[in-house]
Amino acid sequence: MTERMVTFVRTLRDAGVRVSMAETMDAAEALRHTPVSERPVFKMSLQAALIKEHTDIPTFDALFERFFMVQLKDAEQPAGPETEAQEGEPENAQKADPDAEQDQTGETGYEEGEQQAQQEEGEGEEAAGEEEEGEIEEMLSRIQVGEDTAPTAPEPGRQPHRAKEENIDLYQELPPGQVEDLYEAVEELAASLVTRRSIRYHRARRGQVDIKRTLQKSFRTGNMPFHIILKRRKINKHELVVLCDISGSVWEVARFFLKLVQEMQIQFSRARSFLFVDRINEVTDTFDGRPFEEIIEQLKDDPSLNFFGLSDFGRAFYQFYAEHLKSLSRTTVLVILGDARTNWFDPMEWTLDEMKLRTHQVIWLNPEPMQYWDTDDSVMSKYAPHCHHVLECRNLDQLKRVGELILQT
Amino acid sequence: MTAFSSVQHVIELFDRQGYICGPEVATPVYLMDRLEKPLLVEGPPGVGKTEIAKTLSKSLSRRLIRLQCYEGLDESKALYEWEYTKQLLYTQMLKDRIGGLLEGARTLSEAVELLDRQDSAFFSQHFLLPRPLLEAILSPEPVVLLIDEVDRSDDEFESFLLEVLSDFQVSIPELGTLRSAQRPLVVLTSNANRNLSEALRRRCLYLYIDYPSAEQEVRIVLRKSPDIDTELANQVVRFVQKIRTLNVRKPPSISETIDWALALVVLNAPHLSREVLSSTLNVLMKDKEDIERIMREGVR
Repeated sequence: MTERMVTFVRTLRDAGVRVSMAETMDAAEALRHTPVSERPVFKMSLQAALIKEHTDIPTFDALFERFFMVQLKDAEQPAGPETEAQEGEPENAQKADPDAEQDQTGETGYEEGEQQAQQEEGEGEEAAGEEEEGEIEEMLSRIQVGEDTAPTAPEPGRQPHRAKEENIDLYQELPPGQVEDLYEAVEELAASLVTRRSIRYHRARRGQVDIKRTLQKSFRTGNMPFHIILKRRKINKHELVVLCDISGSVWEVARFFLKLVQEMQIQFSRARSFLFVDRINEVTDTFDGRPFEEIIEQLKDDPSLNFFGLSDFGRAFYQFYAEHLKSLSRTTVLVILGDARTNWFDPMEWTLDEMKLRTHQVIWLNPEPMQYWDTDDSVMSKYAPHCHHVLECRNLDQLKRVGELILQT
Repeated sequence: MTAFSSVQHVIELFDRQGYICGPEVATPVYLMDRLEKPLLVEGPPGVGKTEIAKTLSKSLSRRLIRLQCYEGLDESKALYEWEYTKQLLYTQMLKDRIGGLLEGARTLSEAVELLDRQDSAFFSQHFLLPRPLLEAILSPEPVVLLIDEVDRSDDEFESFLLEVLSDFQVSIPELGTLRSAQRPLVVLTSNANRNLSEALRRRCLYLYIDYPSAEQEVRIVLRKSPDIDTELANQVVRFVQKIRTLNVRKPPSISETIDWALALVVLNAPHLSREVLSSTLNVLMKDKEDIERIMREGVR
């Protein structure tokens, strides 16, 4: 029985679900308390112990079905007339699943599984003698389905390429699978940045005793300092305004930056996002609670963004200058992301200077490699004097630095 | 000590408290008691996450201790605080006694030493202001601890919580380690505002509650609003379920469905019609734009 469990867990892992050893042991423990014969209970016992993200539930459902379902049904009604029909199923299931996992290679996960199997056996022995154990044993011994699905060749794993993620060049077309991994990495990055920041808030709240005000207040209570007043360190919350070029190749980087902005939003008193190709478009409201990918898809389909137009920085900046200059203030951090390729249009850099005068910080992020700046129609050096910082931003490492810079301002 | 004898037992007890659920909810609840593990409940707002803890406390007649999380929640609000004002007040009132105590002291350092011996009088449980977590630990009889909306707290608080949840003891420097006499049943809820850490998830059993099926929701409505006509209840639920599939800003929760059903009963509405809808939709939907959209486009 423990072997079955371990195989199941291994299959889950291969499907990309993270299951720890402790969780496997919880599942084994859970099964000692619940009857295997009741399918929904059996299933939920495994699910509650093994699955900790609701996004993993569909995977679990599918695998559970393949692993246990058919056989358990069979066990419940051994002499039913449908038995034959059901017996046909497992084979179909096996054949119908040429197993996405099969084509993956690697060794590490397997060894881990072996260790676990040993660990589990210990557990099992302990459990022996329990009444239900025999029942479980019997049930599970009947289960043949899914033997072939056992992961002879586990997935190379998410971890190995994790390490290099920071250096992946974002300024290129990425395979879809990787994009998701990178989104996840950006999420983690944002979380770590936000934590550091919230520690600052934390300290600010727990400041030292404000002797002067405490004593002042103590006059009311006969010079006894009944109410201690703490000094509060003041931390300004800035307003973030993002102006993001989304034309052509820049888009690849822009979406990761937008993801970062979305994740960090809570750190600002207000965060507004504008996208532009040749006109600006406020998309602040589009970034609500929905999954980021969904939002991105919606933006891509938005005709008003003129996704495939020629980018015109001058015109976009002028429009921002004309319509939104008033909304900028000394607490605003303005972040512009773009390659500064104007397609030979007028760059109108003076508009940027006006913006600089009215904001706390102007930060320009250029996703192009630095050696290409100012070649052809790139006018980076015309815009650069009107920014406080100009940074190259084309991998997660640089994105992280950008995040730090934005939060520090 | 185990609270439930079987999963079926959980379903029955919950049903008696008016919480209708199947094995998908009852199994993790049963297991959290058996395995002595916290239960992390996730799901969209208004599907009855908090209700699980409340029902649990009612059906076992255990006290419910609730810790509402928010950004900036820290240990002094969640665990304990010294009651500084009370300490000071007592010192004031006991001034004479303290004076008497120190009478024999000739030097200042001797006085300090004498006073030091009374240290425990000032830092005793009398002056400790227990907050929910400590309250749950100190309670002599088992309680249900609800840590609501844990995703709203900061990361640091989450790590602190991990520590408390793993062995249910806290160290107070002045008093030593306090251990719980009974292991409380812990329910954590989250609306997924923020991704909770892997470590916290690992230590909990996990339950994801989605909106109920139409059939189950009808049962809930009939239970909570017994005067409603079965046909109307069916209509109501079908309508609500339809709205949830539309991309509205704030999908109606179960409690809003119930409120709406109650409202319809009070208004004596025989069936859903446009007039009934326009006058009562604000009970179900709380977003102006959503209401306008539903009224404009209708629900097919």
